[in-house]
Order: sequence, then structure tokens, then C-alpha cells
Amino acid sequence: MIIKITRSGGFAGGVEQLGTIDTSSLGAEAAAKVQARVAKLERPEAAARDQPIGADMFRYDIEIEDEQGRHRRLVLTHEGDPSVPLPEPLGKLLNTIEGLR
Amino acid sequence: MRAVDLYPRTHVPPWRRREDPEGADFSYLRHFPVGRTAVLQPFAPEPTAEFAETLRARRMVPLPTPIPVPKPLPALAGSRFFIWKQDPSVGEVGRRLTLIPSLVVNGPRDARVDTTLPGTTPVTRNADGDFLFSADTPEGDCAHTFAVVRQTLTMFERAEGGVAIPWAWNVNGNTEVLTASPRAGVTPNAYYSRNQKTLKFFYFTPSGAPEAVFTCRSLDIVAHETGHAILDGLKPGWLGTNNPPQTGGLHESFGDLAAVFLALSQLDQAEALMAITKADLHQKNFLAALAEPFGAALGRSTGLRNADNDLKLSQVSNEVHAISQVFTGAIYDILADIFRFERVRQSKTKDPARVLLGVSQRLSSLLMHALIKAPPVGATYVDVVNAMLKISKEQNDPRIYRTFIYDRFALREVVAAEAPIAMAMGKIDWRNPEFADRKEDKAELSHPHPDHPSLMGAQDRSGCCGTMQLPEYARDQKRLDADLQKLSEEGVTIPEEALLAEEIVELKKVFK
Repeated sequence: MIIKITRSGGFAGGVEQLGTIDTSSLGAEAAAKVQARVAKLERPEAAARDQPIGADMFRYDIEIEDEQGRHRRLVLTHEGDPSVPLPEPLGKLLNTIEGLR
Repeated sequence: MRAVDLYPRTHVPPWRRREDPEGADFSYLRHFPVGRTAVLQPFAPEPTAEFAETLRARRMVPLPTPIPVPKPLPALAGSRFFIWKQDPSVGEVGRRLTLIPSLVVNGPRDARVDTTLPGTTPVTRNADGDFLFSADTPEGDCAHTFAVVRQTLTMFERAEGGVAIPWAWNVNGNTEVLTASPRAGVTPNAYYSRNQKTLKFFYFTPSGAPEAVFTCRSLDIVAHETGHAILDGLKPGWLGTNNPPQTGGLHESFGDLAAVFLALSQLDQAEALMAITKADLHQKNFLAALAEPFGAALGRSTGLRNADNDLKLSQVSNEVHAISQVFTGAIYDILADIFRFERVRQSKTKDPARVLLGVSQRLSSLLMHALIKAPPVGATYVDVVNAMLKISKEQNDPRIYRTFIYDRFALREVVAAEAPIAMAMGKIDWRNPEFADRKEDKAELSHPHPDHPSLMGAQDRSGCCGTMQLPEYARDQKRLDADLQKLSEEGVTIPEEALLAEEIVELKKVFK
């Protein structure tokens, strides 16, 4: 599975490639964790989380290519306010990307 | 027969008779014995029937209404604030005193806008009702932010004929305020949130910079975010992620243009601009450069965005801020064009700064009404351009105004070219109010590339890369309406503020 995360928006309005995770390059345990986090983001209850409505917020585009080569995309909006935590699975995926650097 | 000579004939006026040595002695009249009768002979004969009738007729004419005693007008409510007329980096206009001509209570707060900064608010006004604080203080930031939010809202409400523009949650009698939060935290951002009913302004220190950039001290940024809140109140369906990029671009452009129009609603800024540019809006200037300190932090010399740009639709990405520059640039060009035309036309009667003020007011009103007329969801640039053309014609603007609108948007590939673009060929007759390059004065322009990605909604974008988008993340109109309903049911409690009660009652009537 390949996960590519892009962040855009904010007041400045830039587009930033936050990074890519290729689970085939991870150990089995780490790859399973990543897949579980993606699955968690895709769950209806996660999706039902109230998305903030507003302007100049950050938009996270999460592009996923699974083992069969199928593509799908999740879009998450976050205020960009440091006092509001990111949804947990997204935050952990970003931590994984940081760890790969 | 005269029994008593009560009224002796004399030429002496009555007020001097007592002193008239030649006149009769009237002193006895004051001592005329009670009960003594006198038969008086009238000096005038009995009135004739004709005279009596005339007198009666005259009396039938209604008496004139007495002129009422003029009541003094109530004193104009208002508070003075120090504001950055642009932002701390723009020295030409600096920080000046401004009057908010409406009731503002401690906070600063009024019936529409509140301010919050834990540990600082409510900020107390002085004995004169003014909010005057030093520049580099939390109180000064609260006062500045409130004043600019209030000025921006007032400007667009005036364009609406003085009618209150609701925030997105002001439905079913809800009168909750928009809360501005200066110094909301440390990060390079500022945003508008409908859920939180707030504008948040953060601060940050660019690497190598000696001091922090406070986004709340920028008139451009505060006006921009307020613009989002105002447009969300007018078009609540435009903030959904299911809208095409151009709808988001309209939102961002409206924010940037709110800053431009707010600056041009102030005579001192217009005068400074005239002096700096020698009345040529295409010269480099502080008006076109938006959010200068933010831009400087990113190494940009003309602000974070430059309204005086030449970008075409094919030259920008679909990110909403990027694509917004095309629309903003076109409107800025139209502003400069109309100003150039009117400056010549009114050169004998008005100062250029005053002409610019009038042109800006007219164009901002035209734009706002065109945005209101655009579709409730999925609006595109062409929808707004056609609405502008239609309204401009209805309000009998000179035909050349519509030539400017068509030319500028056609040059930027927003609308399909119907005729050779006179602006591109340098063939504009600036002295002819009826100048036109299109044969017919219609408002039916179309997209030059109907399949342009900026016109495609989020659902359509998924098709181009074989992706799936969770439906829960895409907001449709029903869901937006449900959100609004939910917001309205959450209660309308505002802390009681006796001074503002009357205004809030009025707002309840308006926000049905």
C-alpha cells in the first residue's frame, strides 16, 4: 500500500507534499499499523466526525494505492489551529512519515 | 349713547396713555366699583351678514399646524480606536485614530461582533467611550481587530442599503455574534470558522526576523477573514468541499477584495494612494499588495498576494488561493479602468481621491450584488461576470463599464471571447462612455473551456484519477442546511448587555 499525503490551504494557500509511505518498505508490524490507521480513517464513524466548515483552513488530501493498484482518496479539513489536535490516525500517519525521514 | 367714557379717543398709543399729559386720567378704571353697570356703545357698526359669512368661512380653514419645538438629535454613539491603516510595515499611512460610529461596549463588543483574548478581554473603554491603547499591547490588538472587522461589515451593509448582513448561523432569529480572536496562538495562519463562529488570528516569528508577525495587526488579513464570514452569511452553500475550485476561488477573492475596498472607503488611504501612484493604480502600491508582512516572511516583495497581477486561468493551479488571483486581478483591473475613465470625465469637478472613493464604492456594490445573484452552490466565475454585466446595465452604468468587465475577464480566459478584445489591441476610446467592442450588450458570456478542471466539482475530480472520496467528507446542500438548523437550535443565548438590547431586538426581526 502506498499512502501520499498533501496539505493545502491555510491563509497563505500553499500546497505542500507532506510525504509518502510505502508499506512494502516497512517491517511487517509497522506496515500493519499503517494499514490499520488508514482503515480507521476510512471507517464510517471516523468519517462521520464533524468536519470544520470555514475558510483558510488546511485541507489534507490522502491518496491511497492498495496492493491491487486501486486508487482512492480521503479528504480531511483541519482548522490549522495548534490547540486543536489532528484526527488521531492522521496525526500518527504524519508521525510515521517524519520517522521515515 | 355713551354712559361711561371708558375708552376715550386719543392718538396716543395705549402703552403711553398713562403718561400722556394731554390724555384723560384712566386711573379710575382700576378702581371701577364692582357691580356698577355700564352701557357700552360699540365703536364699529354691527357686522353685516356678508361680513359674518366671510368671517365664518375663514374660520373653517384649518389652522396652520404649529411649528413643533425642535428636539435635539440624540448624540451620535461612537468610539474611537487606533488602527493600523494597512499594517505595521506600511509606513505611508501608519497607525491612526478612527471613529466607529455606532455603539461599542467593553470587549470591545457590539451587537454583531465580539472580541476574545483570555486574560485581556473584556477591554474597558475610557471615560470618553474610546478604546485607545499603545500599538504593541494585547489591548491594542483587541481594539484594532474589532475596529477592522466592524468597518468591513459596515462597508458591505452600507452597500446593502444599511440592512444587516447575517452571519451564517443567524437564522430563525438567532443573533449570535461573530467572535474575533486576536493572538489565538503561535502559527502562521488566520482562518474563519463557521462551527466556532469565530475569526482566529495567529502570530509567528519568521526565521531570522527580530520580532513576531501578528496577523491581527494587518488590515488586509482581518478584512479578508471578515470577508469570508460575510460571504458565508450571504452564500452558505459555497464553503462545501463539493464545490468546484472556482467557487472556493470566489470566496478567497472576495476576502482579498474586501481588504482593497475597505482601504478605498477611507479618504486618507485614497489620498495617500493618489500621491504615491500619481493616480495610476498600476504603479506599485500598498493597496494591491495584500498581507505584506506575511508575504515578506515568505520572501515575497509584493505581499502574500498581489491584486495587480496578470494571471490567466491557464497559469494557476486549482488551489483556491491560487485560482482566486485570476478573479481578484480582473476586478482590480476593472477598478483601475473605471477610475481612469471617471478621473478624466470628472477632472474638472472632483479631486482624484474622491473620484476613486466613488468608483470603489460603486464597484464593490456591483460585485457584492453579483455574488448574491450567483447560484447557491457551485458558482463559477462566469456566473458572477454575467451577473455583473446584467446589474451594470440595469443600473444604467455607462456602456464602457461593461466593456471593461468583458475585456478583462476575456483576457484572463475566464469568459469566451465574443469579439476582438479592444483592451488587448489598445483600441479603447477612454473618452467615450458608450464605447463597446461587443455588438450586443448582453450578459450571456460562456466558459472558454467548459471542461476546465477549475469548473469540476470534487466528485468529478475523483473520476480523473480513479479515486474514491468518502461521501461523509463531501458536504452537500442538505447537509449544510442541516448544519445551519443544528446551529440555530443550539440556542441564541448572548450574555445580557442592556446597552445592546435594543439593537439585538431589531436584529431578531431581520434574521428570520
